[in-house]
Amino acid sequence: MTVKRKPYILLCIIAVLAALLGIPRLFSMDYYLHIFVMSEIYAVLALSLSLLVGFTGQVSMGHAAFYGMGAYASAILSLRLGLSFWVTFWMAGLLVGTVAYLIGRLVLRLRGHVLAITTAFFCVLVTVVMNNWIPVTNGPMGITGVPSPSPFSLFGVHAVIETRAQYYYLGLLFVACVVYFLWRIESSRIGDAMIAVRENEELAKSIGIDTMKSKVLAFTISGALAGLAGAFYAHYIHFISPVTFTINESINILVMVIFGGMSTLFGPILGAVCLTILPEFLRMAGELRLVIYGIALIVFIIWMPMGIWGTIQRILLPKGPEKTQG
Amino acid sequence: MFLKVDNLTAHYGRVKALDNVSMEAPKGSIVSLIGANGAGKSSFMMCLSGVLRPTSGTIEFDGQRIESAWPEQIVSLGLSQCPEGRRVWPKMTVLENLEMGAFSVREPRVVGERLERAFSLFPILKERQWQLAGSLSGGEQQMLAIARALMAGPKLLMLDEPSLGLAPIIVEKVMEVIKDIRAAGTTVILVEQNAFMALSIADHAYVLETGKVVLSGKASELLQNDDVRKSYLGI
Repeated sequence: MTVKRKPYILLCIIAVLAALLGIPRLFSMDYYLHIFVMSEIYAVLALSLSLLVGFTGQVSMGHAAFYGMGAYASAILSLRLGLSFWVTFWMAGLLVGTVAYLIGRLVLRLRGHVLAITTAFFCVLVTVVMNNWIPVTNGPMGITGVPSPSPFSLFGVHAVIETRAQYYYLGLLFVACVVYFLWRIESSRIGDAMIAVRENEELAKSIGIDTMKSKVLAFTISGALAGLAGAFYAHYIHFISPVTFTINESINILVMVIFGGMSTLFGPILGAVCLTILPEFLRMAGELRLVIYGIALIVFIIWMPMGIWGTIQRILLPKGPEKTQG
Repeated sequence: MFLKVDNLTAHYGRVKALDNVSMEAPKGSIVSLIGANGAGKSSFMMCLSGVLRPTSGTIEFDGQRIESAWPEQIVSLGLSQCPEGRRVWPKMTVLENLEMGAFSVREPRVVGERLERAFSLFPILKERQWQLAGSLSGGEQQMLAIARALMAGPKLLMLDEPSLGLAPIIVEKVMEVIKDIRAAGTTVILVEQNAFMALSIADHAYVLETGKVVLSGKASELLQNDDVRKSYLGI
């Protein structure tokens, strides 16, 4: 069964890749391209959160905090120290990963809604710091003039990242790397341990899995990836302020994960793309826009509790979530 | 002594769950712990597997003190637990459940050997290896839970209430399996409310009441003991 489906899947992948690469030619308007670049950033955010929520089963409402910390870290480092984006991008990821590790060690003793509320408070706390630590963050006025990535030459190819189309391609590479990285994790022993923790933590302990280690690892990786997404965002928009990284954003990312389909790799991407495009699409509806958006979300969640990707999978594989063995 | 527990005391907050419990299990034996609900049987198991920290007392397993070790260290020492309520991962297949049981084993060859052994012990699991564990019957899930605990290659296997909620005919099957496991060289600690089952296959037994050992001895003698007969066997 799986053997027969393979060429068909390969064809689909090639078609999707061609479409993705062709997008800047099809939609050359800056407005459209902006939406696509934002979709990419949200795709990374949703993917990273799904490692924690979908695979390890730990609900976090603090994702925007890591996103924001990455943006601020990269912006401040590049403006104050004059470092290139190619350096600050990784430094932001490393820094946010470290913070996520420390926070994770503290809060992952908690479970379920207590964990969700604690991480939500953490997100609020980070926004408060961004607003009030004026010498460093410039407070509510935000940071302006975050530079574009510096031009570079690699293997004789001279690359400049300035136009939206160029950001789009860089973002595409970013998403692809994140997907590959998460896919490697999720198909490894580490991923098995994470799923075991999600399905039954006590049981996972009884077979000798260090469940705290699994949870902290998922939290750290998820935070670090959100930090990288933040750095990308800061150097794309060139301006950051605390308003972008509030708890609303955390909820927004969480909704993307649930809407797209948790504990898969394509679900969060689909969720991110749909929920970035949909509100823009609804601009036609004028002031009713957010009302329609809300209703659409409710209807989708009721009809597709497993998310869009979960529903597609169910239609394609009539046997349900059961694995087909080839 | 293979397993030696001395004056073990444990608390949940202020509530004393275990009160100076001492017991021992020689290598290759089946030792039963019987007692009513809340007698401290499961708390005792949790102390042994490192999930609950004892307030005082010592646990010596195969020459090593383990009362302050982490659960994953204890599992790798060869003491593995099959928790109460036939817990399996319902959304994983039977095979995946078994493979997860060998999580701390890194050589694929060893995993393969243990898988063969588990399948020869439980042929039904081989038939159903591609099924989701949640779709198995209660008895089969209990078999799977025991087989999974064996995948870690334990020297000592702790079984918590393996007969809970099973039909009598399945309970008999589980008893046979426990005897097979012992015959293959694994020491078994059996925690049971079903005192008759526990006493009829065990070598030694301990009776727990409100966290204390009130009676201990050869299982065959306890089976004849008047108090035990009255309180636990309903005879």
